[in-house]
Amino acid sequence: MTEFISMTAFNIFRRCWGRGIIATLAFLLPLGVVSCGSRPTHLAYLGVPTLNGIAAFRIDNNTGKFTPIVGSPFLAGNSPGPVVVAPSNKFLYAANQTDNTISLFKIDSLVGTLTEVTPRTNTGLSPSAMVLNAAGSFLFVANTISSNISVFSVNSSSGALTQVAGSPFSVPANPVSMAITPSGTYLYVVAPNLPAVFAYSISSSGALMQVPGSFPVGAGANGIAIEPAGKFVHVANSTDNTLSILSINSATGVLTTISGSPFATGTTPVSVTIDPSSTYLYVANEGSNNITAYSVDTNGVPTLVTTQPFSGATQPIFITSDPDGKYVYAISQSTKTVVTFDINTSTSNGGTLGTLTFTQSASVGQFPATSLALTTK
Amino acid sequence: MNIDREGIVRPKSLLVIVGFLSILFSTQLSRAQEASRFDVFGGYSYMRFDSRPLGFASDSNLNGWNAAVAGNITLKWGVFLDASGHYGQELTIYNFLIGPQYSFRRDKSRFFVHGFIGKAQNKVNVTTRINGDLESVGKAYGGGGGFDYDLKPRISIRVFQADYLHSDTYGLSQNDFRVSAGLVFHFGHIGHPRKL
Repeated sequence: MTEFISMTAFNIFRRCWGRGIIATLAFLLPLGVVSCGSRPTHLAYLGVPTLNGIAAFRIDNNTGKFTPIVGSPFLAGNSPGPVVVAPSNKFLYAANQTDNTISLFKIDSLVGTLTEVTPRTNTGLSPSAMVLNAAGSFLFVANTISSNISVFSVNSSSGALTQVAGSPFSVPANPVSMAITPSGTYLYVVAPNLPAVFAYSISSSGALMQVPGSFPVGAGANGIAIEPAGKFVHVANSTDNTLSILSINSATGVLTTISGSPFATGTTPVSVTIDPSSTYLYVANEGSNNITAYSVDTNGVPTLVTTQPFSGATQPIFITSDPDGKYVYAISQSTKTVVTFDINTSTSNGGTLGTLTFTQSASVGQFPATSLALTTK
Repeated sequence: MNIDREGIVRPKSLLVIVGFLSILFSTQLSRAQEASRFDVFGGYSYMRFDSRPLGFASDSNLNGWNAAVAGNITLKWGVFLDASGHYGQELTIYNFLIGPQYSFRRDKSRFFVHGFIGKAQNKVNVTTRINGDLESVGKAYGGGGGFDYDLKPRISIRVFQADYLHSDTYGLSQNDFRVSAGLVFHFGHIGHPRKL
Protein backbone atom coordinates (compact mmCIF):
# COMPACT_ATOMS: atom_id res chain seq x y z
CA MET A 1 0.00 0.00 0.00
CA THR A 2 2.75 2.37 0.95
CA GLU A 3 4.53 1.48 -2.23
CA PHE A 4 1.44 2.21 -4.29
CA ILE A 5 0.86 5.57 -2.67
CA SER A 6 4.43 6.71 -3.04
CA MET A 7 4.61 5.48 -6.64
CA THR A 8 1.41 7.22 -7.56
CA ALA A 9 2.56 10.40 -5.92
CA PHE A 10 5.83 10.27 -7.73
CA ASN A 11 4.18 9.67 -11.10
CA ILE A 12 1.89 12.58 -10.54
CA PHE A 13 4.84 14.73 -9.64
CA ARG A 14 6.81 13.53 -12.64
CA ARG A 15 4.02 14.29 -15.07
CA CYS A 16 3.42 17.62 -13.52
CA TRP A 17 6.94 18.52 -12.59
CA GLY A 18 6.83 21.78 -14.47
CA ARG A 19 3.91 22.88 -12.41
CA GLY A 20 5.62 21.43 -9.40
CA ILE A 21 8.60 23.66 -9.93
CA ILE A 22 6.40 26.68 -10.13
CA ALA A 23 4.58 25.62 -7.03
CA THR A 24 7.84 24.99 -5.24
CA LEU A 25 9.26 28.34 -6.17
CA ALA A 26 6.02 30.00 -5.24
CA PHE A 27 6.34 28.30 -1.93
CA LEU A 28 9.99 29.12 -1.33
CA LEU A 29 10.31 32.65 -2.62
CA PRO A 30 7.92 34.18 -0.13
CA LEU A 31 10.14 32.88 2.63
CA GLY A 32 12.62 35.49 1.65
CA VAL A 33 10.01 38.13 1.19
CA VAL A 34 7.87 37.81 4.28
CA SER A 35 10.52 39.09 6.59
CA CYS A 36 11.77 41.95 4.43
CA GLY A 37 10.09 44.54 6.64
CA SER A 38 12.03 45.72 9.65
CA ARG A 39 10.72 46.02 13.16
CA PRO A 40 10.66 49.53 14.62
CA THR A 41 13.92 50.26 16.36
CA HIS A 42 16.06 53.11 17.59
CA LEU A 43 19.82 53.31 17.52
CA ALA A 44 21.62 54.33 20.69
CA TYR A 45 25.16 55.66 20.98
CA LEU A 46 27.30 56.57 23.96
CA GLY A 47 30.89 57.55 24.45
CA VAL A 48 33.33 55.19 26.12
CA PRO A 49 36.28 57.41 27.09
CA THR A 50 38.70 54.68 28.14
CA LEU A 51 38.31 52.93 24.77
CA ASN A 52 38.37 56.13 22.72
CA GLY A 53 35.25 54.80 21.12
CA ILE A 54 31.52 55.10 20.67
CA ALA A 55 29.43 52.14 21.81
CA ALA A 56 26.47 51.42 19.56
CA PHE A 57 23.26 49.51 20.20
CA ARG A 58 19.96 48.87 18.47
CA ILE A 59 16.92 49.14 20.73
CA ASP A 60 13.81 47.13 19.97
CA ASN A 61 10.87 49.52 20.38
CA ASN A 62 8.62 46.71 21.52
CA THR A 63 10.83 45.35 24.27
CA GLY A 64 13.43 48.01 25.05
CA LYS A 65 16.11 45.39 24.48
CA PHE A 66 19.60 46.61 23.54
CA THR A 67 21.43 44.61 20.88
CA PRO A 68 25.10 45.58 20.38
CA ILE A 69 25.94 46.65 16.86
CA VAL A 70 28.57 44.38 15.36
CA GLY A 71 31.90 46.19 15.34
CA SER A 72 31.00 48.40 18.31
CA PRO A 73 32.67 50.40 19.77
CA PHE A 74 33.66 52.60 16.86
CA LEU A 75 36.87 54.56 16.90
CA ALA A 76 36.59 58.25 17.84
CA GLY A 77 39.10 60.76 19.18
CA ASN A 78 40.62 60.70 22.65
CA SER A 79 38.19 60.30 25.50
CA PRO A 80 34.86 60.88 23.75
CA GLY A 81 32.14 62.07 26.09
CA PRO A 82 29.02 63.92 24.96
CA VAL A 83 27.23 62.61 21.88
CA VAL A 84 24.28 63.96 19.90
CA VAL A 85 22.37 62.63 16.90
CA ALA A 86 21.23 65.01 14.17
CA PRO A 87 17.43 65.24 13.73
CA SER A 88 17.89 63.71 10.28
CA ASN A 89 19.27 60.57 12.00
CA LYS A 90 22.10 60.63 9.44
CA PHE A 91 24.89 62.02 11.59
CA LEU A 92 26.34 61.63 15.05
CA TYR A 93 28.62 64.14 16.75
CA ALA A 94 30.95 63.14 19.56
CA ALA A 95 33.02 65.55 21.64
CA ASN A 96 36.54 64.27 22.30
CA GLN A 97 37.36 65.71 25.70
CA THR A 98 41.11 65.25 25.59
CA ASP A 99 41.58 66.15 21.93
CA ASN A 100 39.28 69.19 22.24
CA THR A 101 37.70 68.17 18.95
CA ILE A 102 34.33 67.14 17.56
CA SER A 103 34.08 63.90 15.58
CA LEU A 104 31.47 63.67 12.86
CA PHE A 105 30.15 60.20 12.06
CA LYS A 106 27.82 59.03 9.33
CA ILE A 107 25.21 56.62 10.63
CA ASP A 108 24.33 53.54 8.60
CA SER A 109 20.69 53.25 9.59
CA LEU A 110 20.35 49.64 8.45
CA VAL A 111 23.44 48.26 10.15
CA GLY A 112 23.84 50.88 12.87
CA THR A 113 27.56 51.26 12.23
CA LEU A 114 29.40 54.57 12.36
CA THR A 115 31.90 55.88 9.85
CA GLU A 116 33.91 58.89 10.92
CA VAL A 117 34.28 61.78 8.50
CA THR A 118 37.62 63.44 9.01
CA PRO A 119 39.16 65.87 9.72
CA ARG A 120 37.79 66.48 13.20
CA THR A 121 36.59 69.95 14.11
CA ASN A 122 38.42 71.90 16.79
CA THR A 123 36.50 73.27 19.73
CA GLY A 124 37.38 74.76 23.14
CA LEU A 125 39.09 73.05 26.07
CA SER A 126 37.40 69.97 27.53
CA PRO A 127 34.05 69.88 25.70
CA SER A 128 31.60 68.40 28.20
CA ALA A 129 28.14 68.97 26.76
CA MET A 130 26.56 69.34 23.33
CA VAL A 131 23.09 70.18 22.07
CA LEU A 132 21.60 70.60 18.61
CA ASN A 133 18.64 72.82 17.88
CA ALA A 134 15.48 71.07 16.69
CA ALA A 135 16.14 72.02 13.09
CA GLY A 136 19.60 70.52 13.31
CA SER A 137 21.13 73.69 11.91
CA PHE A 138 23.31 74.69 14.88
CA LEU A 139 25.48 72.67 17.25
CA PHE A 140 26.36 74.15 20.64
CA VAL A 141 29.36 72.82 22.56
CA ALA A 142 30.04 73.72 26.20
CA ASN A 143 33.79 73.86 26.82
CA THR A 144 34.28 73.41 30.55
CA ILE A 145 37.90 74.47 31.02
CA SER A 146 37.87 77.36 28.59
CA SER A 147 34.50 78.47 30.01
CA ASN A 148 32.87 79.20 26.72
CA ILE A 149 30.41 77.83 24.20
CA SER A 150 31.41 77.06 20.64
CA VAL A 151 28.61 77.35 18.11
CA PHE A 152 28.78 75.62 14.74
CA SER A 153 26.46 75.80 11.77
CA VAL A 154 25.65 72.36 10.36
CA ASN A 155 25.65 71.50 6.68
CA SER A 156 22.44 69.51 6.37
CA SER A 157 23.65 67.28 3.55
CA SER A 158 27.20 66.51 4.70
CA GLY A 159 26.92 67.13 8.43
CA ALA A 160 30.05 69.29 8.27
CA LEU A 161 30.54 71.92 10.98
CA THR A 162 31.50 75.55 10.46
CA GLN A 163 32.05 77.82 13.44
CA VAL A 164 29.71 80.81 13.36
CA ALA A 165 30.94 84.40 13.57
CA GLY A 166 31.78 85.44 17.12
CA SER A 167 32.15 81.86 18.38
CA PRO A 168 33.21 80.86 21.00
CA PHE A 169 30.99 82.84 23.34
CA SER A 170 32.15 83.37 26.92
CA VAL A 171 29.98 82.00 29.70
CA PRO A 172 30.36 81.84 33.51
CA ALA A 173 32.96 79.47 34.91
CA ASN A 174 33.08 75.81 33.93
CA PRO A 175 29.77 75.04 32.17
CA VAL A 176 28.85 71.33 32.26
CA SER A 177 25.33 71.10 30.94
CA MET A 178 23.00 72.90 28.54
CA ALA A 179 19.42 72.75 27.29
CA ILE A 180 17.82 74.45 24.31
CA THR A 181 14.18 75.36 23.88
CA PRO A 182 12.26 73.38 21.22
CA SER A 183 11.83 76.61 19.27
CA GLY A 184 15.61 77.03 19.20
CA THR A 185 15.30 80.54 20.60
CA TYR A 186 17.04 80.23 23.96
CA LEU A 187 19.94 78.26 25.39
CA TYR A 188 20.26 77.67 29.13
CA VAL A 189 23.55 76.77 30.79
CA VAL A 190 24.53 75.53 34.25
CA ALA A 191 27.88 75.26 36.03
CA PRO A 192 28.17 73.28 39.28
CA ASN A 193 30.21 76.01 40.93
CA LEU A 194 27.47 78.57 40.52
CA PRO A 195 23.93 78.12 41.90
CA ALA A 196 22.29 79.71 38.89
CA VAL A 197 21.08 79.20 35.34
CA PHE A 198 22.45 81.47 32.63
CA ALA A 199 20.24 82.25 29.65
CA TYR A 200 21.24 83.12 26.09
CA SER A 201 19.15 84.15 23.14
CA ILE A 202 20.15 82.58 19.84
CA SER A 203 20.21 84.74 16.73
CA SER A 204 19.34 83.51 13.27
CA SER A 205 23.08 83.22 12.58
CA GLY A 206 23.63 81.13 15.72
CA ALA A 207 25.28 83.88 17.73
CA LEU A 208 24.60 83.91 21.47
CA MET A 209 23.57 86.96 23.45
CA GLN A 210 23.17 86.67 27.21
CA VAL A 211 19.77 87.39 28.68
CA PRO A 212 20.52 89.92 31.43
CA GLY A 213 20.95 88.52 34.91
CA SER A 214 21.14 84.98 36.19
CA PHE A 215 18.41 82.79 37.61
CA PRO A 216 18.98 81.15 40.99
CA VAL A 217 18.77 77.42 41.54
CA GLY A 218 20.23 75.12 44.22
CA ALA A 219 23.86 74.30 44.88
CA GLY A 220 25.69 71.91 42.60
CA ALA A 221 23.55 72.54 39.53
CA ASN A 222 24.47 69.67 37.27
CA GLY A 223 21.81 68.31 34.93
CA ILE A 224 19.42 70.57 33.04
CA ALA A 225 16.48 69.73 30.79
CA ILE A 226 13.56 71.44 29.06
CA GLU A 227 10.36 69.52 28.49
CA PRO A 228 9.06 69.10 24.90
CA ALA A 229 6.39 71.76 25.44
CA GLY A 230 9.19 74.24 26.07
CA LYS A 231 7.65 76.00 29.05
CA PHE A 232 9.95 75.04 31.93
CA VAL A 233 13.61 74.56 32.75
CA HIS A 234 14.45 71.72 35.18
CA VAL A 235 17.73 71.65 37.06
CA ALA A 236 19.12 68.82 39.22
CA ASN A 237 20.99 70.35 42.16
CA SER A 238 23.48 67.63 43.11
CA THR A 239 24.68 69.23 46.34
CA ASP A 240 21.30 70.32 47.68
CA ASN A 241 19.54 67.09 46.68
CA THR A 242 16.77 69.08 45.06
CA LEU A 243 15.15 69.78 41.71
CA SER A 244 14.62 73.39 40.67
CA ILE A 245 11.93 74.22 38.14
CA LEU A 246 11.73 77.60 36.43
CA SER A 247 9.18 78.83 33.92
CA ILE A 248 10.38 80.33 30.64
CA ASN A 249 9.20 83.68 29.39
CA SER A 250 9.00 82.85 25.70
CA ALA A 251 9.31 86.51 24.72
CA THR A 252 12.41 87.39 26.73
CA GLY A 253 13.97 84.10 27.83
CA VAL A 254 13.80 85.24 31.45
CA LEU A 255 13.27 82.45 33.98
CA THR A 256 10.96 82.57 36.99
CA THR A 257 11.07 79.98 39.77
CA ILE A 258 7.72 78.22 40.02
CA SER A 259 5.80 77.94 43.26
CA GLY A 260 7.13 75.21 45.53
CA SER A 261 10.53 74.96 43.83
CA PRO A 262 12.96 73.45 44.71
CA PHE A 263 11.53 69.96 45.13
CA ALA A 264 13.09 67.09 47.04
CA THR A 265 14.95 64.35 45.18
CA GLY A 266 17.17 61.45 46.19
CA THR A 267 20.83 61.85 47.07
CA THR A 268 23.11 63.57 44.55
CA PRO A 269 20.72 64.15 41.66
CA VAL A 270 22.80 64.61 38.52
CA SER A 271 20.52 64.22 35.54
CA VAL A 272 16.89 64.91 34.67
CA THR A 273 14.61 63.97 31.78
CA ILE A 274 10.99 64.53 30.82
CA ASP A 275 8.94 62.12 28.71
CA PRO A 276 7.77 63.25 25.22
CA SER A 277 4.26 64.00 26.48
CA SER A 278 5.67 66.39 29.12
CA THR A 279 3.72 64.37 31.69
CA TYR A 280 6.40 62.51 33.65
CA LEU A 281 9.70 63.70 34.97
CA TYR A 282 12.57 61.51 36.15
CA VAL A 283 15.68 62.38 38.15
CA ALA A 284 18.76 60.14 38.37
CA ASN A 285 20.17 60.09 41.90
CA GLU A 286 23.79 59.02 41.72
CA GLY A 287 24.25 58.96 45.49
CA SER A 288 21.17 56.93 46.44
CA ASN A 289 21.41 54.61 43.41
CA ASN A 290 17.86 55.19 42.26
CA ILE A 291 15.49 57.26 40.18
CA THR A 292 12.86 59.65 41.44
CA ALA A 293 9.68 59.90 39.37
CA TYR A 294 7.16 62.74 39.26
CA SER A 295 3.99 63.45 37.39
CA VAL A 296 3.83 67.05 36.17
CA ASP A 297 0.77 69.25 35.89
CA THR A 298 0.21 71.96 33.31
CA ASN A 299 1.77 74.54 35.62
CA GLY A 300 4.94 72.52 35.73
CA VAL A 301 4.44 71.46 39.33
CA PRO A 302 5.77 67.95 39.99
CA THR A 303 4.10 65.42 42.26
CA LEU A 304 5.92 62.32 43.37
CA VAL A 305 4.34 59.19 41.96
CA THR A 306 3.74 56.44 44.46
CA THR A 307 6.06 53.53 45.28
CA GLN A 308 9.19 55.47 44.85
CA PRO A 309 12.13 55.70 44.29
CA PHE A 310 12.97 53.17 41.61
CA SER A 311 16.06 51.05 41.83
CA GLY A 312 17.80 49.00 39.17
CA ALA A 313 20.48 51.43 38.06
CA THR A 314 23.46 51.65 40.40
CA GLN A 315 25.12 55.08 40.45
CA PRO A 316 23.03 56.46 37.60
CA ILE A 317 24.92 59.35 36.03
CA PHE A 318 22.66 60.12 33.11
CA ILE A 319 19.02 59.58 32.26
CA THR A 320 17.02 60.15 29.08
CA SER A 321 13.61 59.31 27.65
CA ASP A 322 12.96 57.17 24.64
CA PRO A 323 11.49 59.15 21.69
CA ASP A 324 8.29 57.09 21.83
CA GLY A 325 7.73 57.67 25.53
CA LYS A 326 7.76 53.96 26.39
CA TYR A 327 11.07 53.72 28.19
CA VAL A 328 13.58 55.59 30.29
CA TYR A 329 17.26 54.75 29.86
CA ALA A 330 19.80 55.31 32.61
CA ILE A 331 23.58 55.01 32.38
CA SER A 332 24.95 53.14 35.39
CA GLN A 333 28.57 54.02 35.98
CA SER A 334 29.54 51.39 38.53
CA THR A 335 28.02 48.49 36.59
CA LYS A 336 29.12 49.89 33.21
CA THR A 337 25.68 49.32 31.79
CA VAL A 338 22.75 51.07 30.19
CA VAL A 339 19.57 50.21 32.06
CA THR A 340 16.11 50.16 30.51
CA PHE A 341 13.04 51.04 32.56
CA ASP A 342 9.51 50.62 31.27
CA ILE A 343 7.21 53.62 31.88
CA ASN A 344 3.79 52.64 33.07
CA THR A 345 1.42 54.63 30.86
CA SER A 346 -1.76 52.69 31.62
CA THR A 347 -3.81 51.97 34.71
CA SER A 348 -5.40 48.89 33.15
CA ASN A 349 -2.72 46.69 34.68
CA GLY A 350 -3.45 48.03 38.14
CA GLY A 351 -0.26 50.05 38.20
CA THR A 352 0.30 53.74 38.82
CA LEU A 353 0.90 56.06 35.91
CA GLY A 354 4.49 57.14 35.50
CA THR A 355 6.02 54.40 37.61
CA LEU A 356 9.11 52.63 36.32
CA THR A 357 9.77 48.93 35.99
CA PHE A 358 13.31 47.68 35.52
CA THR A 359 13.38 45.83 32.20
CA GLN A 360 16.97 44.93 31.41
CA SER A 361 20.50 46.21 31.26
CA ALA A 362 23.09 46.16 28.49
CA SER A 363 26.81 46.01 29.14
CA VAL A 364 29.02 48.76 27.77
CA GLY A 365 32.19 46.94 28.82
CA GLN A 366 34.02 49.99 30.15
CA PHE A 367 33.06 53.11 32.06
CA PRO A 368 30.54 55.00 29.95
CA ALA A 369 30.41 58.76 29.54
CA THR A 370 27.49 60.81 30.84
CA SER A 371 25.63 61.01 27.56
CA LEU A 372 23.36 58.78 25.49
CA ALA A 373 22.13 59.78 22.04
CA LEU A 374 19.17 58.13 20.33
CA THR A 375 17.91 58.18 16.79
CA THR A 376 14.22 58.93 16.48
CA LYS A 377 13.62 55.88 14.28
CA MET B 1 5.23 25.85 7.69
CA ASN B 2 6.67 27.48 10.73
CA ILE B 3 7.32 31.12 10.12
CA ASP B 4 7.37 33.04 13.38
CA ARG B 5 6.04 36.48 13.99
CA GLU B 6 9.33 37.98 12.91
CA GLY B 7 9.06 36.21 9.58
CA ILE B 8 12.03 33.96 10.27
CA VAL B 9 11.89 30.47 8.82
CA ARG B 10 12.73 28.00 11.56
CA PRO B 11 14.80 24.89 10.95
CA LYS B 12 11.91 22.71 11.99
CA SER B 13 10.03 23.83 8.90
CA LEU B 14 12.73 22.73 6.51
CA LEU B 15 13.20 19.45 8.30
CA VAL B 16 9.51 18.78 7.84
CA ILE B 17 9.81 19.45 4.11
CA VAL B 18 12.87 17.26 3.75
CA GLY B 19 11.29 14.52 5.83
CA PHE B 20 8.15 14.62 3.74
CA LEU B 21 10.09 14.26 0.51
CA SER B 22 12.12 11.43 1.99
CA ILE B 23 9.10 9.43 3.03
CA LEU B 24 7.25 10.11 -0.16
CA PHE B 25 9.90 8.86 -2.51
CA SER B 26 12.16 6.60 -0.55
CA THR B 27 10.45 3.33 -1.38
CA GLN B 28 10.45 3.54 -5.13
CA LEU B 29 13.12 5.87 -6.31
CA SER B 30 15.82 3.32 -5.82
CA ARG B 31 14.70 1.62 -8.98
CA ALA B 32 17.23 3.50 -11.00
CA GLN B 33 20.15 1.22 -11.54
CA GLU B 34 22.81 3.67 -12.56
CA ALA B 35 24.24 6.98 -11.49
CA SER B 36 27.17 9.21 -12.27
CA ARG B 37 30.31 8.92 -10.17
CA PHE B 38 30.66 12.66 -9.74
CA ASP B 39 28.18 15.51 -9.98
CA VAL B 40 29.49 19.04 -10.33
CA PHE B 41 27.01 21.81 -9.63
CA GLY B 42 27.26 25.54 -10.12
CA GLY B 43 24.66 28.26 -10.15
CA TYR B 44 22.90 31.24 -8.67
CA SER B 45 22.08 31.36 -5.00
CA TYR B 46 19.95 33.56 -2.77
CA MET B 47 20.44 33.82 0.97
CA ARG B 48 18.22 35.23 3.66
CA PHE B 49 20.85 36.13 6.24
CA ASP B 50 19.87 36.41 9.88
CA SER B 51 21.54 39.75 10.51
CA ARG B 52 19.38 41.02 13.37
CA PRO B 53 21.59 39.40 16.01
CA LEU B 54 24.40 41.58 14.65
CA GLY B 55 22.37 44.71 15.33
CA PHE B 56 20.94 45.17 11.84
CA ALA B 57 17.47 46.67 11.54
CA SER B 58 16.26 43.69 9.53
CA ASP B 59 17.41 40.43 8.02
CA SER B 60 19.41 40.75 4.81
CA ASN B 61 18.63 39.57 1.29
CA LEU B 62 21.86 38.49 -0.37
CA ASN B 63 22.65 37.25 -3.87
CA GLY B 64 25.58 35.13 -4.93
CA TRP B 65 26.73 31.76 -6.14
CA ASN B 66 26.76 28.17 -5.02
CA ALA B 67 29.04 25.38 -6.24
CA ALA B 68 29.31 21.78 -5.14
CA VAL B 69 30.95 18.50 -6.03
CA ALA B 70 29.19 15.30 -5.08
CA GLY B 71 30.87 11.93 -5.18
CA ASN B 72 28.41 9.07 -5.39
CA ILE B 73 29.60 6.03 -3.45
CA THR B 74 26.50 3.96 -4.10
CA LEU B 75 23.40 4.58 -6.15
CA LYS B 76 21.86 6.30 -3.17
CA TRP B 77 24.63 7.54 -0.98
CA GLY B 78 27.34 10.04 -1.65
CA VAL B 79 29.45 12.75 -0.11
CA PHE B 80 29.36 16.32 -1.23
CA LEU B 81 31.57 19.38 -0.87
CA ASP B 82 29.77 22.69 -1.07
CA ALA B 83 30.92 26.29 -1.25
CA SER B 84 28.83 29.41 -1.57
CA GLY B 85 29.32 33.14 -1.55
CA HIS B 86 26.63 35.72 -0.93
CA TYR B 87 26.99 39.45 -1.15
CA GLY B 88 25.21 42.60 -0.09
CA GLN B 89 26.19 46.21 0.44
CA GLU B 90 26.98 45.58 4.10
CA LEU B 91 27.70 41.85 4.15
CA THR B 92 29.91 39.26 2.51
CA ILE B 93 29.11 35.67 3.49
CA TYR B 94 31.01 32.51 2.57
CA ASN B 95 30.19 28.95 3.57
CA PHE B 96 32.36 25.87 3.08
CA LEU B 97 30.52 22.66 3.83
CA ILE B 98 30.83 18.89 3.63
CA GLY B 99 28.36 16.14 4.36
CA PRO B 100 26.49 13.02 3.30
CA GLN B 101 23.88 13.10 0.57
CA TYR B 102 21.08 10.66 -0.11
CA SER B 103 19.55 10.57 -3.58
CA PHE B 104 16.39 9.07 -5.06
CA ARG B 105 16.45 8.63 -8.80
CA ARG B 106 13.63 7.98 -11.19
CA ASP B 107 14.08 8.27 -14.94
CA LYS B 108 15.23 11.83 -15.56
CA SER B 109 14.50 13.07 -12.08
CA ARG B 110 16.66 13.04 -8.97
CA PHE B 111 15.70 14.21 -5.53
CA PHE B 112 18.26 14.54 -2.83
CA VAL B 113 18.53 15.42 0.82
CA HIS B 114 21.72 16.20 2.65
CA GLY B 115 23.17 17.32 5.92
CA PHE B 116 26.41 19.21 6.35
CA ILE B 117 28.93 20.76 8.66
CA GLY B 118 31.69 23.21 7.89
CA LYS B 119 32.81 26.76 8.31
CA ALA B 120 31.14 30.11 7.80
CA GLN B 121 33.20 33.19 7.02
CA ASN B 122 31.13 36.30 7.56
CA LYS B 123 32.20 39.87 7.08
CA VAL B 124 30.43 43.12 7.84
CA ASN B 125 31.65 45.82 5.50
CA VAL B 126 32.42 48.77 7.79
CA THR B 127 35.59 50.79 7.88
CA THR B 128 35.70 52.31 11.37
CA ARG B 129 36.21 50.02 14.28
CA ILE B 130 38.34 49.40 17.33
CA ASN B 131 38.28 45.73 18.10
CA GLY B 132 40.07 44.35 15.07
CA ASP B 133 38.64 42.94 11.88
CA LEU B 134 34.94 42.66 11.37
CA GLU B 135 35.40 39.32 9.70
CA SER B 136 34.47 36.30 11.75
CA VAL B 137 34.92 32.62 11.05
CA GLY B 138 32.86 30.04 12.89
CA LYS B 139 31.28 26.67 12.61
CA ALA B 140 28.32 26.07 10.34
CA TYR B 141 25.93 23.22 10.00
CA GLY B 142 22.49 22.50 8.60
CA GLY B 143 20.63 20.50 6.03
CA GLY B 144 18.35 20.64 3.06
CA GLY B 145 17.53 19.08 -0.24
CA GLY B 146 16.70 19.67 -3.83
CA PHE B 147 15.60 18.41 -7.21
CA ASP B 148 17.56 17.82 -10.42
CA TYR B 149 16.11 17.07 -13.85
CA ASP B 150 18.19 15.61 -16.69
CA LEU B 151 18.46 17.80 -19.77
CA LYS B 152 21.02 15.56 -21.43
CA PRO B 153 22.79 12.40 -20.31
CA ARG B 154 25.64 14.44 -18.84
CA ILE B 155 23.83 17.62 -17.91
CA SER B 156 20.99 18.26 -15.52
CA ILE B 157 19.27 21.36 -14.34
CA ARG B 158 19.11 21.86 -10.60
CA VAL B 159 15.61 23.20 -10.38
CA PHE B 160 16.03 24.12 -6.77
CA GLN B 161 18.12 23.40 -3.74
CA ALA B 162 16.89 24.70 -0.39
CA ASP B 163 19.07 24.64 2.70
CA TYR B 164 18.86 25.74 6.28
CA LEU B 165 22.23 27.05 7.50
CA HIS B 166 23.17 27.68 11.09
CA SER B 167 26.38 29.58 11.68
CA ASP B 168 28.14 30.79 14.81
CA THR B 169 30.10 33.96 14.12
CA TYR B 170 30.86 37.10 16.13
CA GLY B 171 30.06 35.08 19.22
CA LEU B 172 26.45 35.00 18.06
CA SER B 173 24.25 32.53 16.24
CA GLN B 174 22.66 33.10 12.86
CA ASN B 175 19.90 31.01 11.31
CA ASP B 176 20.01 31.49 7.58
CA PHE B 177 18.09 30.18 4.59
CA ARG B 178 19.65 29.49 1.21
CA VAL B 179 18.05 28.67 -2.15
CA SER B 180 20.13 27.76 -5.19
CA ALA B 181 19.55 26.77 -8.82
CA GLY B 182 21.81 26.05 -11.75
CA LEU B 183 23.36 23.29 -13.83
CA VAL B 184 24.77 19.92 -12.81
CA PHE B 185 27.41 18.13 -14.87
CA HIS B 186 27.85 14.37 -14.50
CA PHE B 187 31.13 12.47 -14.78
CA GLY B 188 31.78 8.72 -14.70
CA HIS B 189 29.18 6.22 -13.69
CA ILE B 190 28.35 3.54 -11.16
CA GLY B 191 25.82 0.74 -11.46
CA HIS B 192 24.72 -0.33 -14.96
CA PRO B 193 26.33 1.67 -17.78
CA ARG B 194 24.59 4.87 -18.59
CA LYS B 195 23.18 4.99 -22.11
CA LEU B 196 24.85 7.82 -23.92
